[in-house]
Amino acid sequence: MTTIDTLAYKIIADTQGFTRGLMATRQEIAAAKELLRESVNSWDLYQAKLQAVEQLQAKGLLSSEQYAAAMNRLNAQSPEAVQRQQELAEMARRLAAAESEAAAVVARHRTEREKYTEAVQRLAALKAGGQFSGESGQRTYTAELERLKGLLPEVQAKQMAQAAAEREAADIVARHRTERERYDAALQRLVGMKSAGLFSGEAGQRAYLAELERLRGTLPEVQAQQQAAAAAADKHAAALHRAKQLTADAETPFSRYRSAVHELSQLKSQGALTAAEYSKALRGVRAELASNLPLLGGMAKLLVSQGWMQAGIVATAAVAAYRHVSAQVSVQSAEVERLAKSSKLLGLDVNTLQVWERFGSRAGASVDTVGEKIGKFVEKLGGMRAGGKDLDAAIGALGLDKKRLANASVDDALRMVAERFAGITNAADRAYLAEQLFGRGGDAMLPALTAGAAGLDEMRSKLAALGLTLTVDQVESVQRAKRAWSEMRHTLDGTWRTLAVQLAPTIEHTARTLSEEFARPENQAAMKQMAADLAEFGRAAIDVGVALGPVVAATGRMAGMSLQGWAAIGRLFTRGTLLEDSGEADRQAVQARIERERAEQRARARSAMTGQQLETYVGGRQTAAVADEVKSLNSELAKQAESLLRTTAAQRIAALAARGATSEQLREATAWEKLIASRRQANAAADKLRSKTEELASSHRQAIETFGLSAEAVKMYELRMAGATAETLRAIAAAKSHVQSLEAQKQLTEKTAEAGLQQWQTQRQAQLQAAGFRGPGGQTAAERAAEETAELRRQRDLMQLVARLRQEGSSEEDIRRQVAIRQQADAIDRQSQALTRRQRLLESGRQAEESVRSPEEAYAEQLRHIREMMDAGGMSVTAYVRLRKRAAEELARALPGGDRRRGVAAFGLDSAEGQDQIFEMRRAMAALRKQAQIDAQVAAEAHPKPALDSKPPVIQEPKPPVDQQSQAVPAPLTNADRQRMLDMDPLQQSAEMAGELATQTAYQSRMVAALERLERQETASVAN
Amino acid sequence: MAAVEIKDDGTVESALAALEVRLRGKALRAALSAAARVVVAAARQKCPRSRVTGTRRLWSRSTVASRSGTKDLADTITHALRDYGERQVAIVGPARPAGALGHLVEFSRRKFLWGRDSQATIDGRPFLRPAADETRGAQQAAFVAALRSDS
Repeated sequence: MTTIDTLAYKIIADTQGFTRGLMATRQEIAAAKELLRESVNSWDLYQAKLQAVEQLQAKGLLSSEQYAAAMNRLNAQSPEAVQRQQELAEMARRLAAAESEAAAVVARHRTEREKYTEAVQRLAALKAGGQFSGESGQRTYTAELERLKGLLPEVQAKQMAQAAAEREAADIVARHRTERERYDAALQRLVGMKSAGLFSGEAGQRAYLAELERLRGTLPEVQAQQQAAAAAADKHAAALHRAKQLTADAETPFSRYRSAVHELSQLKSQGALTAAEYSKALRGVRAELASNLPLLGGMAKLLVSQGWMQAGIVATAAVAAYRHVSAQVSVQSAEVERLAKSSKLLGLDVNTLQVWERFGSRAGASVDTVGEKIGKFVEKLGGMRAGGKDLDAAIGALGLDKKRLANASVDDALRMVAERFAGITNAADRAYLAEQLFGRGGDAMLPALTAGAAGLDEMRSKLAALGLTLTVDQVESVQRAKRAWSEMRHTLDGTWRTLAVQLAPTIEHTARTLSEEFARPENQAAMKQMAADLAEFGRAAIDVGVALGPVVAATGRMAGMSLQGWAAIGRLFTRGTLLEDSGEADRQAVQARIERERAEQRARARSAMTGQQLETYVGGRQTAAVADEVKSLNSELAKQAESLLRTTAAQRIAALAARGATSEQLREATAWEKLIASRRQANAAADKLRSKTEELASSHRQAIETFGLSAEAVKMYELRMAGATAETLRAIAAAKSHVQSLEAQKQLTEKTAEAGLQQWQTQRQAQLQAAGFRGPGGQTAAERAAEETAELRRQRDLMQLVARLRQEGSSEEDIRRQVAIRQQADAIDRQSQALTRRQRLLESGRQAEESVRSPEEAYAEQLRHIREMMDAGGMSVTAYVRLRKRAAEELARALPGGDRRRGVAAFGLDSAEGQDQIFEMRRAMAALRKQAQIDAQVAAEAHPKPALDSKPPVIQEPKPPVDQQSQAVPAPLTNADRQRMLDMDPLQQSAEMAGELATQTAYQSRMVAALERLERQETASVAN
Repeated sequence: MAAVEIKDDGTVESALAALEVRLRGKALRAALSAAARVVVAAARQKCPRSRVTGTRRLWSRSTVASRSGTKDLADTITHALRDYGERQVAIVGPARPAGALGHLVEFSRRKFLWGRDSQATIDGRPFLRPAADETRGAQQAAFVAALRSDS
């Protein structure tokens, strides 16, 4: 706060004595002003504006033109002018409404024919105006004309009748169309759609083929062929099935076993075989029987085999070796997998991790502990990169560059730490720093840290020498192998599961057959022998004891891999024994039999499999990747085949394949199907060719037979060719002739009625003329007769309407309503006609009045009109003067030279008011002349003549007439002149006035020319 | 301390009468400021400046040291407004602290040397009183003009 105290001068304002003052707010004052402004009426406002303009004029702020324009605008805004304009606008609005209403009424009651006529006239006018130029325009015009013709009721009725007849004919044709024709029509539609591009893309192509196949299937002969093929395929499949059953019944292992036993018994009974030979041969037969049983075969062969001991030893060794190798491979694979995962998690090289783990193992730390400590170090390293300070103390103690350490990889960071650690000799410091770097328990990393970078490199070299280092490719290879092994196991699981499911019926059948066979008395001896063999196997098993245990265990595990392989091993042992014991001839026979049996077994297994199982069986013998690829390929091919080969036969073949039909059966059925398909294609091609030939011949025949015929005759011909019967054609022709006769009758009736009305109108007109008719408003007899005729027409139309409504079954109420509506419409029509006639009368009256108007009246009317336009501000002063001049010239031309008295009388100049008017006119002329002089002086001052040395702009302008140039400005009137004018004779005054008018007109012309010259000069100067 | 009260001849009242009652205080303060600014400008012109008159060379070192960094007396002349209800006052003069010796320049005083009255008199050099007297009409005009601009 400013402090002024030692020296001060005070200015004091004391408002105690102020008594006056506003108590209203500014808003209240503004509202009061607005209220005052609104309360001013238009007249006061007009007067205020007039006063303002007068004041401006008095002050010399407005020129005469501006004043005149302002006054004109004010006059236009005066209350009287505004009211007049409103009245005029209201009258114009009412007139426009009446006209639009009349037009609407007229348009509402126009007939279709009138609308058509009007539209055609409009179209013709457009064509005459050149709107339909060129070929396309001509086409458009013709099409529009046809469209308009189609709107006529009779044409529409004709078209509807024709369309109905065509529909009926088409229905009849469709009813009598054969299946082949339906097929052809549908095929044509389908081909049309395909050519139109509606079947685009692969899906469209499939849909098109499917629809084509479906259509083809609708043909009777194709259906018959398909049914025959299906029946033949079914019959063939049933025969095959039956033969298969019979063959299976006849060729079961047990039947073969029974026949062999029976044969051996006969040989033994005949003495051809000794007891030992019989027993040996019997064992061989049993082994053969057992070899055909999937699971029991291997065991049975071991029972009957003489070389089971050697096989067991070899198998045991193989299994032990396999176990060891597989275990080591599994362990190493798991180790590599672990290293790969750990190194990926830690962002570390696999070999570096191995090095650190080796050093960690020296300190008794597990690989997990080493991984955990390195992970801790990596975590702290990440924290340091994000700005953490956990490692600052340790980095400082080690003398490491923090930035370099942060930007280094984990491998390099560990190496840098190890390098620095090697230089620290104090054990306590080492332990402290290790804990700082690797967290609690970080001393486990001390061996690697103290070894330094050199120690790390040395350890890496050792590992490489031992073959423990791994490259990235090797790691990935191991991982891929592990994944492939896993996939293969899954595939094998699926295969075994499928086999178990599929073999279940066989096992069931075998078990039942065995039980039946074992129950037979003749087989009891064989069973006893088999029991003896089993006991013998049991004793041998006790002897081999411990050696057989691993064999069985390994066999169980291997069975998980390949039960089929184990059975094969069993068969090999068995057959080896048989081959050893038999002679060369027997050996070959047995070998051939084994091969045959193997082929039969494979065929049986395949026939028992579905397509998918067969695929799985084949795929199981290949690698998993190939199997997957084959599976996906087969699936894709199957889908394509399913989509493309949708014939019934193909479906049935696929179903038969799935149900276990053999390849020979399928081949035979497929061959049949292909033969049928090729025959079908040949038939289709022949049909197509035949149809095309028929179509071509038909078109040519039609062209020849319908040459020169009318369109209707051609249509009838087409109907006949489409299959319409003669009766149908006769009915169509009769209906058509009936319609034509009805139309002709109707036209004749209408024409007769119209002629009657015309005749009545003529008679009535003559009658009225004879009676000397004189209607209101100058109505003639012809007009009256036409009016009465129109009334008769209306009554006739009304009667026709009533008749039509009654014929259509309308109720009396509806008829009355329709009649009332029609009568109202007629009344409006009459009013419209009266209005039109009145307008015509008004127009003729105006023309008549125009023709008899005198030149003076025309001049006065023209002046009044010009004055109104000027008052309305619709023209400039220059235009006003020119129009006045033109009107005066027309008046001078219209008035003969010797008939000036008539002109004076026309102006009323011979009366007292006329004298006053002449005096006022002269005074106005003098004022105008004076003002023109002032304006000329002002213009001369504003545009002085250019100096001699300056170059004025070159302006080409027309030179004024010589007489106008030589004439001086008229002198103003004096009192003597005014007195002389008052003393003149009216005739002389008129002549004087005409002369003065001519002088003034010439002067005005000069002024106008001067003004235009000035404007041009200004324009040229602005342009320069 | 001089206090001059503006005498109204009806002009001020008429100008105030055109104002809304609630706005009178603000308008009065603006008008008083306008009148005071006239006096301030005149007084600053009339106030002696030591650098111009040469008296600064006669100052002792201690005086120079004590006055260094302070404004000239002329630059301290300003005005302040005070509101006393129906009375509004504009005070014009040198403001503290630099202007505290304004009265010693405006008026005459006794001359003291080394703590003793030398019986001599130093003449005053009035600047505020002449400025106020000479601009009385201008003050009135500025006051009324400011009031009218608000009305």
